[in-house]
Amino acid sequence: MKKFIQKAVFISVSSVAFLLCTLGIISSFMFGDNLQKILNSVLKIRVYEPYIGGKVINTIFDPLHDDTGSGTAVYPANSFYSEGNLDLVLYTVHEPVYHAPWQAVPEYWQLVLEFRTGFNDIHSPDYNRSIFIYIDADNDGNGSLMTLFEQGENIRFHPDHPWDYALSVGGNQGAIYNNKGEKVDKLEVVYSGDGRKIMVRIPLTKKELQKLYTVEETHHYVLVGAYSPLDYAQLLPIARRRSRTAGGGNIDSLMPKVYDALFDGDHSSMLSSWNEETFEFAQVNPVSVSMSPAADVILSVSKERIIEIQENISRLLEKNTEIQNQRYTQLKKSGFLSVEEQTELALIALGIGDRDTAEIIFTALLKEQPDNPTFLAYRGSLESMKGANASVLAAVEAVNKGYSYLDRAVFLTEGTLEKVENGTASEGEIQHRYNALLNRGGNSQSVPNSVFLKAAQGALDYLEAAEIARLTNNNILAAGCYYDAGVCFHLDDKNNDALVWKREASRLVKMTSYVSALPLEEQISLLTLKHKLIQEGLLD
Amino acid sequence: MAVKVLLSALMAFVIYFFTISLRSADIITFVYAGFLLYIFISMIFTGNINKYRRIFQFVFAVLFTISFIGNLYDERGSMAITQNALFESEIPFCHLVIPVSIIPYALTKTIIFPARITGHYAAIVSMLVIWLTAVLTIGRGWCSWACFYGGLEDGFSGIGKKQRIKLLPKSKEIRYFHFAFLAFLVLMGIAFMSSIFCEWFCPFKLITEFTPIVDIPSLIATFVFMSVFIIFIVILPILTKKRTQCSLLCPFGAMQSLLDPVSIYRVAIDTDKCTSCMQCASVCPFNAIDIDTITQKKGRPEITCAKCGACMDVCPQKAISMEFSFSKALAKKCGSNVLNPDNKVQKFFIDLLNPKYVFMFSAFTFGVVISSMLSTDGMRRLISGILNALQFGGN
Repeated sequence: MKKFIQKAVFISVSSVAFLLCTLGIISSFMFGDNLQKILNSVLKIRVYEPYIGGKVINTIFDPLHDDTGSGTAVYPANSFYSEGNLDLVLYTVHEPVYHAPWQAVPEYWQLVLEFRTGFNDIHSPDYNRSIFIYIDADNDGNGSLMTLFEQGENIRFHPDHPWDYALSVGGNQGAIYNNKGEKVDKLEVVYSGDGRKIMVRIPLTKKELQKLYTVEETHHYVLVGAYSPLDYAQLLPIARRRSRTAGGGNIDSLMPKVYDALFDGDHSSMLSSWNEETFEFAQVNPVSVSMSPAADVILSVSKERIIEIQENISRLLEKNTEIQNQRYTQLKKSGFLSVEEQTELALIALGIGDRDTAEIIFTALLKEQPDNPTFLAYRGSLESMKGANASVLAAVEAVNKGYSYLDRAVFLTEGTLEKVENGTASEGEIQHRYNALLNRGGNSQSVPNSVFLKAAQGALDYLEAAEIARLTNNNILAAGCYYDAGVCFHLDDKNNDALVWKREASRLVKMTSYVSALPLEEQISLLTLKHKLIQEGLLD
Repeated sequence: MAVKVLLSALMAFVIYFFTISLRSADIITFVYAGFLLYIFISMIFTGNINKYRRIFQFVFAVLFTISFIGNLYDERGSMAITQNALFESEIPFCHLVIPVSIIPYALTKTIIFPARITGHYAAIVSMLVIWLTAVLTIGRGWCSWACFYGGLEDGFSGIGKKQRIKLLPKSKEIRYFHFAFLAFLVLMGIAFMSSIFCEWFCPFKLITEFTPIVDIPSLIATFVFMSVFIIFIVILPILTKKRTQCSLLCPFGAMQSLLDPVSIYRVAIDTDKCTSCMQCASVCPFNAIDIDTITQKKGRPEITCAKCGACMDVCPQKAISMEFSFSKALAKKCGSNVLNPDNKVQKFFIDLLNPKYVFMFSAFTFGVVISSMLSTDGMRRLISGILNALQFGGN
């Protein structure tokens, strides 16, 4: 008996070791995503900031889609410019850095500008944006109130905040000037791969600039125009009608030559404040930037309000389920169903959790219309969903199979955004594109990113869907898509991007008044989104 | 026999899952999966661990290099680290940075390397999870079974038959130097808040990514990288038949050696069977067995053992074996006859729990998982490169 127990003990202990080393290793790779989340929640790792520009001390958001200057400006008719190219969305100020490792210039101050879209042409960075940043570094009332170049941006500065330093970035070159207009040093200008972000580094090696290490509060004017390498002020003019060499929409000779100015609010009234009688340009107000890290602003809402929203959502969901169930029974009882009715039945089945019925219908519909993007998209999602409760191997197969449908659906609807922009897209085409993008985006959000690396793709899908929704004046859908894009960016460890799009969702939600006349599903979407934003402190 | 078949079947599943199922199931992935299975079956059935392990690791290292460089060219157009990659924290996190970044992390909660935190297989946390798993299971076995750099040294040390420089008498000094160098790197890391190894000593910069030469320091650093690569990865391994960079410079190797007692496996030397022929000491690529180890009858290699299996393969007395780290204590408690099976079922289980097989399975699993993506990509690039060259030649 003793011998038997000894053997049992030995085999048990060895078995544990065996399992740890076989299943343990395999599991650590299979469930790496979850393990990473747990580990990171414990370790709270950050990258040593001087490697990546220094500690972020201020992030200032600028509203999206405000790239019309004083309200009427349109981009030059040049292929280098694409929609949103000059639309500043985020301005990030880092802490001045010294002894930064791995850098050509280890003493620098980094500013990052992020735009709504990147460049659409390989040469765009050189011929695209002209950025002027004027900094009042000491708040002492001394400095310059003139623009860096004569006949430059057509603006006037706030008299209390004359600038001490001006940064001019044209294409991928830039320089910093003092308030006498003398060039102090070259700037290091780096574009992100997609051209959406521009990192501007001010070398702090010159004595004249080193006082920036000690300043406590600065005021920044950030102005974005269209770049002209031939113009003394590096700006393309804004004419009455746009052309390849000028923007359009000019209504007055005093109109600013900028498309966007950093301002957390509606800047069009600020940029249109010129005075024809006194011949004064529009006055631009600076944004205050504290040089010590600012605490995150979290908006708070009373518990009662949150409970009220939750109760409203539950009530609407109940009502919706009731309607869906009725319609479901009605459709099921019908003998013959048209393709539209079959699709409706499948979608309701999917909504109430009857995936088998949905799959049967979509499979049958796909046999008849194998290239229907909507059917492909939902079939793909259903296939992918099978992975949720399956073994790991089956889950991977299900997700891969699902993506083959989803990718095809997206491929078949390519070019819809352009058609929407041109006003030639039909309702059906738009709906197909939504279904393709939102299904693929939803899947990309759900599957573990460390295994499938889909989060970045998901974010882009949602952003395109949001753009279509915005162009078609569907604010609620656009807000939802922006939020989901933010979630995808977050999964992809791009937290700044995540915040930009979530804030845009918040802005759109604020603009949308909740009315009970809205269709029930839109009411649910709006309230659910509100609830999420409130919980994240992005909406009050 | 049954155990070997069972473990081979399990490995086939692991290979299928990580190489084919997770990737695109094309001819390349099938060829690579077949290669992996061939290596594992050969190892487990012939018992020649080191021979087949080296083939695997060398192939992995070459394909990794091709894939890595190819990807860099696709994304950046060169192998140089760009400001944009730094700014976006897009430098792949390498396991060699872990030892030098632990203490700076403890002090500042920051990692002294511009990589992504999560969301990518080469992100910091992802690498930490892999490393922790390795620490608990195969310990320093990582260096012999999963390190994509080690394979290059393994490959070069296989060139020629004669050991032209004998490092055996200096084994102890080599070990001391290795730990001293680790201490130096850690201290410098704290002092400069920078991964000094990456900045100044990493020989693999030559085959991965490097800082562009823009000034005198970067020129000197590039000269050092090239020298270290040529001397420690190519010339010395050929002359000594040892993995010299791994034994002398690699901070990860030194750290894994220190942490190895935590792992489940260790190599044991049966001092009763040992005839002190020193063949094991002569072939050990990590200088983990020296004259003292044998003459003082220590019963196990020194702390730098990377469980490559070379000593086990070469020992004429079969005196060297793999064991669980708890085996001795357990055998003491349960009695040494515990491994004598009473029936076939017991024999099957005892065979299945043979530490040598379990270790081989665990370590090779690491190799399979780590290599599957980059190796198949490397194969794809290699084949398309050859085809392009042939086409060009034909024209």
